[in-house]
Amino acid sequence: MNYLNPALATCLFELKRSFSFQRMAVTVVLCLFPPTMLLLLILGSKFAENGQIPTEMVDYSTFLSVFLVALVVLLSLLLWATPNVYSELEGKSWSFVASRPGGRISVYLGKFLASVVVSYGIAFIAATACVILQKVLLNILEPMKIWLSMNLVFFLASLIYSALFSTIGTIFIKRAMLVGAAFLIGFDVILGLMPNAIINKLTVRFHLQEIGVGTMGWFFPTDIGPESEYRQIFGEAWPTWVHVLVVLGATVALMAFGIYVIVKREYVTADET
Amino acid sequence: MIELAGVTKLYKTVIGVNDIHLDLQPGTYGLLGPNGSGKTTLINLILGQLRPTLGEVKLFGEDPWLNSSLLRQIGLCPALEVSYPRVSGLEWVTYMVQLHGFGFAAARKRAKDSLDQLGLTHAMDRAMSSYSLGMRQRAKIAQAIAHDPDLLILDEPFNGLDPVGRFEMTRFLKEWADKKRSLILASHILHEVEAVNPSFLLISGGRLLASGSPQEVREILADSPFTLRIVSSDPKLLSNLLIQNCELESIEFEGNDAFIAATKRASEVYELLPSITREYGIKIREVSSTDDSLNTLFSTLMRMHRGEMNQGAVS
Amino acid sequence: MPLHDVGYRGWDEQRTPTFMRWWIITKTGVRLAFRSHWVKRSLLAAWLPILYWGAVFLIVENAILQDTRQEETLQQRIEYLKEQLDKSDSPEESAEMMLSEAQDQLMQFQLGSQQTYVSRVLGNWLAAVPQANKIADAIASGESHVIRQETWRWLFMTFFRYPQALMLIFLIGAVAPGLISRDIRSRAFLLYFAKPIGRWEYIVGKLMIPAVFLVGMTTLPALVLFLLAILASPDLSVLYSTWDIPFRILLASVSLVIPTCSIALMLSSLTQESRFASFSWFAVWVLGHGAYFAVMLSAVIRLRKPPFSPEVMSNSAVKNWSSLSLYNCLGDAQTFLFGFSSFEESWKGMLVLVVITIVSLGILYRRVSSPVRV
Repeated sequence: MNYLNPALATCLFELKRSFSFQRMAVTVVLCLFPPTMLLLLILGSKFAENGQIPTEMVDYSTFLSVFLVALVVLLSLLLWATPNVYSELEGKSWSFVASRPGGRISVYLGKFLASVVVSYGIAFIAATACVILQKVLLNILEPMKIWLSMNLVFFLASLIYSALFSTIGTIFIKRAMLVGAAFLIGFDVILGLMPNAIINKLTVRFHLQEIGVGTMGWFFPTDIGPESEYRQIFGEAWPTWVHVLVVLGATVALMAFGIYVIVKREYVTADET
Repeated sequence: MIELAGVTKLYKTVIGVNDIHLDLQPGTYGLLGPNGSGKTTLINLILGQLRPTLGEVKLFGEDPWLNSSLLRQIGLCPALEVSYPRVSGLEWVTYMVQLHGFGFAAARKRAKDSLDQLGLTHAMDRAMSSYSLGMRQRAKIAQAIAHDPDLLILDEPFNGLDPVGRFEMTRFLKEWADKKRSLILASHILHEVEAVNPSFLLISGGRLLASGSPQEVREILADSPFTLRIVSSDPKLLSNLLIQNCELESIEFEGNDAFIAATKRASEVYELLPSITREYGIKIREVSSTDDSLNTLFSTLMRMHRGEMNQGAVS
Repeated sequence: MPLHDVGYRGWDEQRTPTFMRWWIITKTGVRLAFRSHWVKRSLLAAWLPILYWGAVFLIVENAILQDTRQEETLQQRIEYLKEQLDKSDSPEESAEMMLSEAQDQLMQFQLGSQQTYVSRVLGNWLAAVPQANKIADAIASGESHVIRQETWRWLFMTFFRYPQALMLIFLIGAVAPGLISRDIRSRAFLLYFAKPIGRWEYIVGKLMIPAVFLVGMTTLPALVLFLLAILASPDLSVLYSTWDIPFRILLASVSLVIPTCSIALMLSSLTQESRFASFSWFAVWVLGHGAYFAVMLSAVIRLRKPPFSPEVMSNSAVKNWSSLSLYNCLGDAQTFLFGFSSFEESWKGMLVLVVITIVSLGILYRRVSSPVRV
């Protein structure tokens, strides 16, 4: 069965629906948050240092950009990917889409695509604006390399987190956003910081960080985490392509699992029973 | 077309449908039952949206739970209210057709045609949120027929419609049935379903109580305990004659020209009325029932199942 | 023809007093929310920290008790030896040695006592935790009354500030987003306002739904914890040092409940789709704290000091922009209410909470009052 056309149709339908004031406002806020914060911080430090931007700001600016863009990308993914099934059940449109041949899979894939497009779109705009600010105000070295690297990392982040949250959305349905947020904080952040533990390697963040480090060099400020300390926690670096493969493989595996769940699970709105 | 063998669906400890055996050939069917009787659960089982806890469902000879491509031949109009604030009727129906695998241009053409057929051409580019209830109902049917299905399943299609809307809906359904296409019409209102002249599937408490033709249903109703309001030129004489010849339970007069008679077998009264009119010259102006016909039908069926009445149409 | 009165039948029985009508909405909302297994589990999880905190109370009380007894015994021995030496005209060398030994023991005990150990551990491990040093100092002072008073308040403050504040984000995120958005979507306003229920009664009724859960996950466990702490103490005299804590708990709960519930309900009232309300709820916390974290990094850059170092945390920019984070604002209020910061240090965060609450309630009232489309 051809799922591509229906999936693309779902993606376009979702994007079209997103042209509401609410969603546009959310998107604009998410796009502007990283460059605005970065600009304020650069100008603030310049003001505090009597008109001179501290040299450390150059060192920190890439980390700040990555951190701020990551925040908005993850929030965007939480909004777009987790409620894939619940939004249909809440909107009472599930029966309409699920009663199509392959409708469940098409909707799952289409919503996944839509969340990737929107989240990566936000990351692209925010990262581009941040790198332009870094170049104009801080005259950083190799801005193109940083921009390309950030785009690669956030594109892969959009793919894998979208797959992860979409799968969570098929399992936990009503509390998917809550579980997604709890997963990020509990697993990816807290458990991911356990030193010398296998669990480190299982976090999405670890692989994306390594891809970032592999493509743009050590971008963490030394005060926050010198590379030696980082290596003590996370072990020696693998080749970047291995991490890319892991991310892509995990995306495919998560999507396959999500499809299995959405096809095999009975979703019924309360009104229908 | 549809086969159900001992199908039971449990929602944890609640029974959705209970041990249903059914073999439906192509045709028009009215799935009739009170609210919460299991109609929607039965439809979801037929469509493969639910997996039976016990038993087996076959749609066009295959298990719909395992083969969603069967849905290509089905058009479903659920009872649920759907409304997108910024999406027009045409966009929505186009999207629904695209989910069947049609390309955008073909889907749009089909969507336009079906909306046109339902009389929504003038409003197809408006946001669905601005539609009236009747317009939304028609848009829902348009999405169900746009891909030209072999079997159309409508769940409570008359909900919220005004008299004009009901008339138009009935006309559409009759036309659909006249084209020799299959139709399953789920409702809790007997006369709405009756208008399409289908075979009946009577479901209550998750059990299929009876199935049969409209004639058979009328027979059940005629044999049911009934309350009749009769308006005539001489109600006292007429009531006297009925008491002498029929098994009436009570008589209550209403003004000078009407009375309400409770009978155990309405058919007896119906059979007597023409001869009384002829012999005694009493003019009968109105005979109506004060009962909810569906309630009467189901209470009769339950009494038949309990052995309190003759089996009649129930086989 | 007799005309039968089939119209409205007056209710002759006693009605709910007007000022309690909101309770009907709250009661129904709580019952509905409590049907969710997730909410039940979250509430259960919210009680788990009292096990850990209860154990800490036990250890602290034990440390205070044991140290006090051992110290008292040593001091009594020294006093006794001194008396013996004073009485004797020609003191034996051994007695002087014993006194010297006892004095050494006391000094060593004071250096290595459990209290000192706790204070050192707290001082080292929790250097980044607000007011940890103050509590370490209090413990090091060695006065049971001061230690108990400071330790208990500090423990309750951290109980509110860390596990409960984090779980609050998730529990409110589970309960509140659909409370008003669903009513807007289903146009249930028509049903509510067709009854003798005013806008404020509706708002209060809805606000109290998450508030009930918050009380269940903060106030009640804290009061139970207080009771456990009292039971773990040697005698009821501890009440003399700690009588104020239940009142502080209640005030801290109010400071936590009102702003968070107002924001959550306001967000819910802005949309028909609960997922937007959920998203906005998380975004408020994440973006706010993210912005604060970025400001802190800029201070790290300017001061050339590590993140969370005392220099960075006391930097004026970091302090001024701390109110960007709702989490920090709540922290300011709790720190003040548990007596670990002055009003001058906390007023900004508390003012932000007051402003947010007023604005949220204003928006909420406006949304609820706006004409309902049929």
